[in-house]
Amino acid sequence: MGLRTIVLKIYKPGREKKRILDEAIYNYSEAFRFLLDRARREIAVIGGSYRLASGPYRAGALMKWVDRDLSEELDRFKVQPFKDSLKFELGMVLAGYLNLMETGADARLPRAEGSAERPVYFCRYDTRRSYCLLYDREKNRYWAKLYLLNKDAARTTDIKTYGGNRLEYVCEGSGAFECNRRKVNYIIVPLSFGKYQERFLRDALIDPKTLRTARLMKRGKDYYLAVSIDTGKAEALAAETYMGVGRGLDNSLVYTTVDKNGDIIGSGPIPGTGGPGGRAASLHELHKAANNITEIAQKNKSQVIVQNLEKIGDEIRWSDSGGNECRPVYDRRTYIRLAELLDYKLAGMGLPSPVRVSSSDIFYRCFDCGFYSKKNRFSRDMFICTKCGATMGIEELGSLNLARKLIRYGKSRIKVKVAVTPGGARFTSKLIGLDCFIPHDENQPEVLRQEIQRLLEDMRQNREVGEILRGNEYKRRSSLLKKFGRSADCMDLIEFI
Amino acid sequence: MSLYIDVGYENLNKYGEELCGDKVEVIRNRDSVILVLADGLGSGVKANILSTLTSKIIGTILANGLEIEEAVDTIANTLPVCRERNIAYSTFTILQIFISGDGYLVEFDNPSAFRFRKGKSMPIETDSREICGKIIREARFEVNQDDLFVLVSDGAVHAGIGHALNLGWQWENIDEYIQRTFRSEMTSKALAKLLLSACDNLYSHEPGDDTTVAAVKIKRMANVNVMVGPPVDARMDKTVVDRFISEEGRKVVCGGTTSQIVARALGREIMTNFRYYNPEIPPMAEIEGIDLTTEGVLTLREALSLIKNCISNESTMKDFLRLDKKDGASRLAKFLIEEGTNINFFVGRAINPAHQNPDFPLNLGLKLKLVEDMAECIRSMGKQVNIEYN
Repeated sequence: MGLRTIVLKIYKPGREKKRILDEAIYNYSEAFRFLLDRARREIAVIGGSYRLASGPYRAGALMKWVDRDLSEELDRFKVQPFKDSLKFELGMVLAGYLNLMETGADARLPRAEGSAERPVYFCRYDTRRSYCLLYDREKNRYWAKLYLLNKDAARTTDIKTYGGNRLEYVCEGSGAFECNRRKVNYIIVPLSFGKYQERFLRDALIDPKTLRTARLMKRGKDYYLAVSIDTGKAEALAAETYMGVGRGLDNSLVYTTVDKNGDIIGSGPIPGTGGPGGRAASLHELHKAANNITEIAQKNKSQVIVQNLEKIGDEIRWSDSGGNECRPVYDRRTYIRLAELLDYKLAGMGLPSPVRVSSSDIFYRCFDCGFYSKKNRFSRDMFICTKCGATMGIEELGSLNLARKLIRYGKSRIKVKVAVTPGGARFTSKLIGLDCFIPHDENQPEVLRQEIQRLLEDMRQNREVGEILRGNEYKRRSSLLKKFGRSADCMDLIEFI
Repeated sequence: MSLYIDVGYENLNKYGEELCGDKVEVIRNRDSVILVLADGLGSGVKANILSTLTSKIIGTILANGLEIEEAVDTIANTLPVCRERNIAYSTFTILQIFISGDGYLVEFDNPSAFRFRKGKSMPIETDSREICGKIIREARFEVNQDDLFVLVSDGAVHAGIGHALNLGWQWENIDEYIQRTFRSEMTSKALAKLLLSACDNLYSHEPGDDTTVAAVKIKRMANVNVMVGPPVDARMDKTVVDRFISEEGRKVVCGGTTSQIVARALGREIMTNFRYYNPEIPPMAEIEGIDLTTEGVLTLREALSLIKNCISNESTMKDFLRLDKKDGASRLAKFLIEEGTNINFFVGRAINPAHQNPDFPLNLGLKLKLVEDMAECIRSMGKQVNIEYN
């Protein structure tokens, strides 16, 4: 599923509607603060009680912490129309926090204090509650129906205000919007937007199921409705190239695209990013960068490869002889966030999710001969291989080495230990579970081939291997044996040590 | 002091030029090796003529025992005058290394020579004096085993200007780079090629000036003994093996039958070596006391091809890096190119029964030809080669 958010402006609301909108935002923010404050005090209990037997914390399970009593307490904030939304949003925040804590990250719950207003979250698209869109076919105008009022605040509305009976629901069946003199707990507001947003709205008229959640927010004196739209799963594209996206010292991000042979197709900084080193970029900037990466990847049908900076760094930092340290433009956390955005943005375009690889060597390994040495980095920006003399800019080198990582992995060899004795040779590899002794008078390479073939067959039929090994160890063995299976001659993949 | 002076040089033509304006002349005589690097004014044919004349004149004069004053005076009076600039000009560097362990350096307007001792930079202090109106820098010094001297033309220190580096590759940068790349077993040619390759890359393969790198490495004499094929007279097996074993230095045995003879004579086992597997090259074996035991003709042929690639004018760094592989042919070539200064071949002329098969493309003549070609290639590198036929 690919999600896009379009932001629609609420067009010139009158004084009364402004009051309702302001009050809704204020009430929602107050109620959320109240819930968060309570949750903070009980976080240990929540963490223990709502943990799923398997897998991470889920918002759906955590929202159940708001029981009937607590839910009734929320009534004093006049948030009856948003109770489900409040619960679900709280569940999402708690799940994020608890899951981060599980990984040992330095995380904290958002502050409950302060007067910052929180956007009102509409957790579902519905014509009878939460929110929905309306369409005036004659004038080609869109409206939003927002359930913001509780029973006590319900009000009567004048149908003339909404263009008579012309409005129809943007929903399956497209029923006409009917308005009578009865009191209602919603308001209807006209929307204004640009051509980009209109394209999505038109699509929604054809397939209303794509309309998902929304947020009502206030920026300055204006009000906006940010609507999430499910763009669906794009047609899967088979990756034909590899695109490495690495951090940079002058540029935030640098990419290199290579073909299946590792030859460079294109490279350069990711457009629209840049700035001083070691800073956290705004989410807006990250989205922009991710969109640009996705666009380039789509153009070249690329498998995007990103740095795995969760545990091991990339040593891109540089200290000169004067002790001045130069840091990458994006810090680790920012880069990791970018990779998370790419996860769904690429999927939305039908491209495979980005592959995260260790990047500890990418700024020090020669792109030509493969030689790795710290001495290869000659200066902050310049790489000169001490084995073959190849030169390249550091940023370009990092992204190129990333782009070629999977190709290099495919060609890398598996180490097999050989102990030669007067009677024969013992071949062992713990990684693939190999341990066999072959006498000198036998055709040792041939017997070794047969033994590896046997291990591969065992793995395929889940004999022995699957029963003994679990988790990562099994995955690693299975991946290596499959590599043998793909090779023309398994001996080509072995490095005897 | 018994030293081997390994000399290697490489040059790059200025982008778009057919001829190089730098010239290196190497003169080996009984007492010393003289290396002259001359850089002619401008580029192309004119610079090539200037640098060729300069290097030849200096080399010949010094080789005949005359003084540097004589050489400079001759150059000043014989070089053709440039019509545009109205001067006759070629910069030069002369390095003379005596077998006795003395060194002599003369520099005129070229970048200072680099000296490294055990991989660490050790700049040469020079004195200046005027000869025929030219300021000459001069130094006399002692030479030690493992000393490395690198001479470069100004094209090397300008590498990267306007491309990868703003101010080019400064003398200090080259000095640091050589220290970083230093490996004791690396030949002068490989080092010159590596440094030139870096310059070429910094120029983005469009050199802005003729660029030359010459390296001189002082090495200890080292023997490599290669036994190929069984002796004609089987009764001589033990004698030949004993003589082979008694030689100092590395021992290499090529050929299955030869390996068996050596193992039998020494009373040791032959074991298959699995350290490297390459289906194109026959596997190696191990005999205690022998540094390398390989198959015969196929390995020799491959090793010869590797050596030819390395000494060829068109060789690249990849050819030298290929020697780092662990198969028998690469290891043999590495012994002969990088380690040995005196190579002794013990060639047996017995006919291998396997080669009697008319369908088998190999014969004794081929084996002898391979050894002779190999010896010729090694001699061209300035090394001593002895071939003993048994």
